[in-house]
Amino acid sequence: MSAIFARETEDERLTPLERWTRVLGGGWIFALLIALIAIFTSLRPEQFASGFNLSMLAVNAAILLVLSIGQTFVIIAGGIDLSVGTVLVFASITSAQIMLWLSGAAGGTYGTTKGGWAVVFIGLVVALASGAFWGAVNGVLVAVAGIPALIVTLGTFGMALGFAQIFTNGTDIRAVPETLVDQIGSGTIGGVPALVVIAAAVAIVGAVVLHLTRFGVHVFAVGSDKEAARRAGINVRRRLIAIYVLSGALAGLAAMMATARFATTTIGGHAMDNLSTISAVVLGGTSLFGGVGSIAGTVVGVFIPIVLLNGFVILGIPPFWQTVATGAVLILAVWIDQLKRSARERS
Amino acid sequence: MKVILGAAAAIAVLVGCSAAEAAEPAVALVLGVKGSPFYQALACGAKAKAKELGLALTISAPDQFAADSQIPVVNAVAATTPAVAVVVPTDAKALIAPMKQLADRGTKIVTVDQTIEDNSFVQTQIVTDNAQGGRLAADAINALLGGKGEVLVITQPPGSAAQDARTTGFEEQLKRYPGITYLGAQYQSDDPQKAAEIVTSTLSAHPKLAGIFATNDQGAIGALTGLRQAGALGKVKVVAYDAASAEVSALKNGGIQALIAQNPKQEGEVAMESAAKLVKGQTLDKTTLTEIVTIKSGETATADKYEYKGDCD
Amino acid sequence: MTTPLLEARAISRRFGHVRALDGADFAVHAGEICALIGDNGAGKSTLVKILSGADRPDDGRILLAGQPVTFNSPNDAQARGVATVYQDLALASDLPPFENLFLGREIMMPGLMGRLGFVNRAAMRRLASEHFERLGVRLRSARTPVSSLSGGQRQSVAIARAAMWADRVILMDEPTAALGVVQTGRVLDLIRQVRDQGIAVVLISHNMPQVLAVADRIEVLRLGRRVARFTAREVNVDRLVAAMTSGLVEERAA
Repeated sequence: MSAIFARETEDERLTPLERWTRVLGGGWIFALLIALIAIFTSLRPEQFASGFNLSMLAVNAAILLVLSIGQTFVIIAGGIDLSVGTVLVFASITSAQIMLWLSGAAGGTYGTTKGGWAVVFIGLVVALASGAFWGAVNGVLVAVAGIPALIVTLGTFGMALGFAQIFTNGTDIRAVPETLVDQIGSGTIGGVPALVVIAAAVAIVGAVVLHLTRFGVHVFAVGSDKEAARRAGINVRRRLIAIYVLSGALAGLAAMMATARFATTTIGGHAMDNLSTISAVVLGGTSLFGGVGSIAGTVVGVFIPIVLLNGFVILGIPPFWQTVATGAVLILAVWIDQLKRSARERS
Repeated sequence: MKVILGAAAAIAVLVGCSAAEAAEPAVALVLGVKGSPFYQALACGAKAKAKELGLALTISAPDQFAADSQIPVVNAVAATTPAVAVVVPTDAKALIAPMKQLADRGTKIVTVDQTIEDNSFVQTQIVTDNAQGGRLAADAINALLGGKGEVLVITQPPGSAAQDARTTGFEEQLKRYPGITYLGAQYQSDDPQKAAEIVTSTLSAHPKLAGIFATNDQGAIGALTGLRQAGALGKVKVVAYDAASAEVSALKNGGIQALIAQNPKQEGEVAMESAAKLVKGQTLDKTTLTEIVTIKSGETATADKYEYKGDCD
Repeated sequence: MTTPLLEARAISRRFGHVRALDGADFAVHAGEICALIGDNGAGKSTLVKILSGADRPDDGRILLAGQPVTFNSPNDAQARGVATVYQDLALASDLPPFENLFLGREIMMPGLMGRLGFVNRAAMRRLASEHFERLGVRLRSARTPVSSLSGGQRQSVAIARAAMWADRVILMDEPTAALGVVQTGRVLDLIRQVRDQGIAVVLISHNMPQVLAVADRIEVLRLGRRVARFTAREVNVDRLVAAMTSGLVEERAA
């Protein structure tokens, strides 16, 4: 048995640009985040780098991070989920309503209710189920009916919000269990805000599942080449449905976190969450074409706009400039992703 | 690397442009949303007055008129610990905790335009009497319709104290006019497109619709579009809250018949005056009212005076 | 002559009015490369689809090691040792070669970890590199995604994957169609390696010189039937072309 293949004789020398993008492609977005933090810290040390502010940054990132982890799975698998923000709204009103009924708060529309941990737990189950329901709708329509994910999730984006408004007549439910608001919304676990702990736990579990399990391998495979995955015997339909259900369920979890934080449902908000999660995921290095991505990247991607906004407000930069800067960073990130791809393909 | 250095340089320049004197007391103004004529006018009034009074004013605003968008901004302001923070709370409940945090860190709090439910830590609430505004609107509609006809209200979903008060004031005053049939309130969530659709659908269901009360500028603009599409502009009478430029033009050319105008410029000025007093250690009344006026068709001079002008940079 | 490992007898298949296959025969033996050639429309693709389990014949039989079989699906065929390498390769290009080799058949961690779904990448990597070594496939890096490999190396990964899971017959559809001269040579060497492992290789190709260079036997399809069988040594391009186009039926016990 002879060694058939000689070393590839094609010239492997890369241009400096290609070498830089190879290097940067690895952890460049993380370097960008560190650079931003360093810049803001040097300009306003006591204000930006204070324990208070850093802790607030993490809390503000928590809800979006949980949503973005679901989006990461979906985009790596070659799909997209535009419904995340309104599924969150829907899940928040179903869970808040159930918790209200269980607490029997009489007319306490502007206070908190006495519901304890059992009520909160039931609320959580309802929220997760509501989110998973919409996820299943998305998954079945995409995987079985074959409708493009963009269209399906745009549709469920509208439907979830519509139903939420119908059920509540457009009025937010403002009486939520005090336990939830105090212990989770403002509470800490071991000195770290509870919301941050939850988000971190979700991120860690997400990373383990995505990078260490068979399910994760299949998610990447389906996103890379659906047909190849199918021929390899992977049940593509089941995988796709699973990731959309996951995204929906995480939106449900995020809904509980939001209710805890705001002490009210926020039907009028979360309209832009879908785009925020997508830009966080893309900033983090996940490719919109599927097959490539990481949870760590998403974590960094979530923090960058939040750090930018926070830093700009602290520095007193006019609001419209903030919008310009954040948009520019997003374009830059996608551009570098493109360079990475072509550098890889060319070799 | 080059890009990062370039960005750093750009930020440094912008910071240089907006850096404040260390000696002047720092006042932070958090508006309800970016790009609204009302809040732009408020900001203009505040800027001029702050300059006059020697206050270092920074202005910030969220992308959407919603709590989840505004809270990170309020948090960031809290990190700068200004002497006074003037906030337009976008949600009467959700903003309580973040603003309380601000107060706990030593900043004096003033709310303007909107209010929050727990105002124990708020030094003063600068508001217009929205209920009164609603009542004025009802009077105006009644006069325009000659006492008879079907009337629709276009407003925000419940949750914004100011909008709720306008609607409630309107509905209560309307009860005094038995000839007017009230079709109810529809929600447009600050989206003129939605407001236009509501109007065209209502016209289809109620072809005899005689009057519309829009509780803010976005609703008014949308209502006009809807009326124009249905060819009913001028036939259905419109009373609108606020005096954004689009509304003032509509008043002049007959699309809108009456405006209930606030004075955001005055609100901004009063906010700065309150801030100055707080810095000096004075106490303020819990509520500070600013004016509302009814502007009818033909009162061009008044319209120009009260128009929300946001260009003062 | 030994029993063919894979044989098709009198296969017919029609699509509407079109008779794609009209009593076609085919046979390939273990440890040989048999090329299936024919002009466009001769029925090669249809026959390959049927042999690989992607389609079912209307008439006729398929025999595997002399026993009649029915393939319900490509996975079914593969389970019995018959694999196909398609022209599009069906590789997940963002995944590295070793993950592609084990796609759908991942090695799990032992014990509880495995049951929870954790994959054993170290084991997969090790077995993959042993397999590549055995076949003489040298990749620049085992960890970079398949998309960063050259066309010839990608083809080799696809063939290696088929050889890993199918131990009897591998069908290859135009394996060197998109490759340059040097890479083509390497892939042909790999195909010979696979044959030397005892696997029956069915090669579909339009490239007559290449067919003559690598195949042991050649079977010619025309208008849905087999019209000729040759051993590679005894035939040249002209006779192959003649058989494909004018259908001179030459049966030779090969």
